[in-house]
Amino acid sequence: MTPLAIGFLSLGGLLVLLALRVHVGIALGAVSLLGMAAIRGPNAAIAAVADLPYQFVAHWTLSAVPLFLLMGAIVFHTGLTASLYSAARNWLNFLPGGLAIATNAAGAGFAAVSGSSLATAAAIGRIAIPEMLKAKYDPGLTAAVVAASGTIGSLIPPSILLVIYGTFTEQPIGMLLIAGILPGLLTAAVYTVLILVRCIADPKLAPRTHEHIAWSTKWASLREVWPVPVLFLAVVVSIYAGIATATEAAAVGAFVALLIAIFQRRLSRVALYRSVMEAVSSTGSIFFVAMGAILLTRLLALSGIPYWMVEQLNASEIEPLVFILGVSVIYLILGMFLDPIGLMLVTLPVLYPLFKAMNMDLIWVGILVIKYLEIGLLTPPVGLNVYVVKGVAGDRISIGAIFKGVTWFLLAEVVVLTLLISFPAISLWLPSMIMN
Amino acid sequence: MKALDRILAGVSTAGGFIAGIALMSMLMLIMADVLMKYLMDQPITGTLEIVSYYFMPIAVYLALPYVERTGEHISVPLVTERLPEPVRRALAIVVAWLSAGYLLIVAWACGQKALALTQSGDSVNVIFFDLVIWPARWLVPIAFVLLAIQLVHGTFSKHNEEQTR
Repeated sequence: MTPLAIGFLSLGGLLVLLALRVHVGIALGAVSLLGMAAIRGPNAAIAAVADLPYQFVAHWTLSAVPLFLLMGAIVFHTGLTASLYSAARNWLNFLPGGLAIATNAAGAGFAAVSGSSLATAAAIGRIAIPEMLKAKYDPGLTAAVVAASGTIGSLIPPSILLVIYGTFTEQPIGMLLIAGILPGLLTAAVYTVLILVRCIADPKLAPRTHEHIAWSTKWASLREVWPVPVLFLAVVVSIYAGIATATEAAAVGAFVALLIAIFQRRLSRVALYRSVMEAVSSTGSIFFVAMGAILLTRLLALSGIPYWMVEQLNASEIEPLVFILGVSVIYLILGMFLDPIGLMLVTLPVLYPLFKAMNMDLIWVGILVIKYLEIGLLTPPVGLNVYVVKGVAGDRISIGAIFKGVTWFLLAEVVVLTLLISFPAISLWLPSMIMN
Repeated sequence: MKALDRILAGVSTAGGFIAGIALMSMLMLIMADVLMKYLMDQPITGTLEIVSYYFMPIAVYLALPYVERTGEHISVPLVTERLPEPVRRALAIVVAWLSAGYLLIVAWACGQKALALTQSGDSVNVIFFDLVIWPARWLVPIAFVLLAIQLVHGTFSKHNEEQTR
């Protein structure tokens, strides 16, 4: 068998193993080990697995991942989410669908201190879902807005996915993180318009609550959320000013989050323990998958698949736009079944050489890839954000109702993606300012 | 079986705890380095090396058995959910044994590498001194063996749970 055939066979085997419920990290590693053994012999394969797992983890840039996770966990366990939601609610509830819009805004706010979509959806959902149900909001809309606003978590910095993308594609992490800001805000804005339009067209979705909130209360609740801009700026300014690398910015963020929690007397021993263990747990599961992916990358390189695909691509003289649309379809389909980190790490080794061969801006591509992964969090049958929301809502909202509600937000995502693809400047303008 | 379960619980929790300490130490060291660098123009030599070669592998590898125990490893539940219960259980056991087999091969390979580097006294140069880095290499085989035991053990305990229910 040619190395190319072995490579494709391995990719097929990978899908079979994933379907059999093998851990994603083990499935990736096992097919890579076997594939490398078939191409280069068992000794070469053993030599690769003997070295790569350690080499990959012993990595300065990647240490931003656990630190960002820790920052988000501290913020969550010290109760900032509740303040964030009540401020958003006090200011936005006068609008049609006000509670849903407030949920969306609180989601964007939490995204600025958390690097994970699932964490954002879980944190906001616990507070927002009971509130909206109490106000007799449509259950589908209630759950969908939480699931969708969670996806902003991976765009607005910090972002775990962007750090990992940057490491695999050798792009500057700082610039990637900054590039996520405007697309994240754009997504939040499009969601807001969607909620407004739907609630004006069908007022039954979101009955108006007639409560008068005094201005003093509004300002007081806004003062409660000062840690959000402080933390966001601590991270973004460190990167912008060139003071810090992404790792250092992550450390500054986590440290400032600790200081704020101590200052507010919210950092109990239990809260600290839970935050650290949660960060450790997420770190372990992410790196285990990534270790497998690094082995797959090595196997693919040996098999010559990326080279072969680049050749096919050049021979076909395909338009970049058509290529991007093709990539969208691939992500849409795989995103139905795989979690974001697994999906990114399974696809990048194959797609990254193609993006490079097409001379695309890899920062812009990074934002698009994150966007695709986030859409995968919302699509059935495996839409992890939807399951997180279902977990929070319990029996009050059916999974079918949530997926139905989410459909509207998927339409909004089509709008956002069209804008991001048509105007690369939305992603690239802010990072271009760092250079100057 | 119960005794093994207790030992595994203890070992994986302890591993998770040490990983947590490594994470906090990483945070404090990097922070101290940033402050020293910008306030006093005096960075802490070796920050990058200590974080990369020690704190990161400790935080990641010692967490792996803990992650398995708390069921946080990522897998795709979709297809197997549709299979009848006995088939699903048999499949889970086969998958666990094969996964453990893979993990043990990697553990063996990494163990060989760690042994070789221990004998040659692997280190990196950090301007003023040589930082010995071979001990961290042993984290990989240790973590993978524990993970393999945990995986196989997990299918048995799940099996028992379902029978006694």
